[in-house]
Amino acid sequence: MDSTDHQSSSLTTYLAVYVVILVISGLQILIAYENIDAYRIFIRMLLLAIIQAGLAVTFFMHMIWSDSFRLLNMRPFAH
Amino acid sequence: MVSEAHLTVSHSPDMETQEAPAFSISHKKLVMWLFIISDAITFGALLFAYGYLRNATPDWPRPFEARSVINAYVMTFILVTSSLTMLIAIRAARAGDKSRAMTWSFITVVGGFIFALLHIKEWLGLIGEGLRLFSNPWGSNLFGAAFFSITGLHLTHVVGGCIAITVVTLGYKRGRYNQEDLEIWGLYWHFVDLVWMFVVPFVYLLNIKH
Repeated sequence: MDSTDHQSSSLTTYLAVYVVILVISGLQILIAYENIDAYRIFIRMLLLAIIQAGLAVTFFMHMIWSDSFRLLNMRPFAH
Repeated sequence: MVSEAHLTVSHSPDMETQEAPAFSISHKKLVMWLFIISDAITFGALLFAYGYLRNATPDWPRPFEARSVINAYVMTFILVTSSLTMLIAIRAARAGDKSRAMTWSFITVVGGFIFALLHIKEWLGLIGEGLRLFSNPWGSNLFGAAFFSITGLHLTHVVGGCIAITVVTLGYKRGRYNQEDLEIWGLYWHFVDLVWMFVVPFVYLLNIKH
C-alpha cells in the first residue's frame, strides 16, 4: 500500500476530530463531578483520554494515510 | 515482510555513490517520531509515578475549584485549536501558499503562548494559596512536587515548541526550511497536545474539590 501521494485528510475531517476531542474533554469534566467512586472515575477518564489521544495520533499526526510511520502497515523500510 | 530484494540499491550510474535510504520516511521525520516515542515514555513514567503516589497517599489534596477546571478547559481549547491551526498551516505549505502557511503557523505560536500565560497564571494562583514544591496547606506534601513536575515539564514542551515553530517558520520564509520541516514540528505540536489530554483528567480532574 502506498499512500504517500494522497492528500492526508480534508479540513472537514480535521474539524470533526477537533470538535470530538473538545466534546470528550467536556465529558471528562462532567464525569469528574459525578458521584461515583474514584476508581470508576479514573477508568472512565483513562478510556476517554485514550480515545482522544488515538484520534489525535490517527488524524492529526496522519498515522493512517501518510508516510509518517509505516510500522502500521508493517513497512518501515524503504522500498 | 521485507525481503532483501526490496532493499537492493538501484544500479544506475548516478546512484552508485549514494546509499539507499534505510527507511521510507525522511531521517528528520524518523528522528522526530523516535523523540516522540521516548518523550511519551518520559511522560508515561511521570504519570505512573504520580498515580502510585496519589493512590498510596491517604491525605492527597484535592484543591482544584471550578475556576481551575474552567481554566484547564480553556487551556485545552486553546491547545487543541492551535493543533488545528498548525494543520491548516501545513496544508497551505503543501499547496505552496507560503504566506498563508506562515500566517497560520504564527497563529499556532500565539496559541501556544496564550496557553503558557494561562498556565503561569494558574500556577501563580496556586502559589498564592500556599502551594509549594514541598509543602501545601491542604494535605500530603508530595502534591506540589507531583503537580509542578508534570505540568512544568509539559509547559517546558509548549514553550520549546513555540520557539521551535517560530524558528522553523522564519527559516521557511527564507527558504532554509521546507514544508516537511513544518510538518515535522507539527507532529511535535500535536504530541504536546496529546500529553495535555492525559494531564488534565489525571492531574486536575481527579483532584477537584467536592
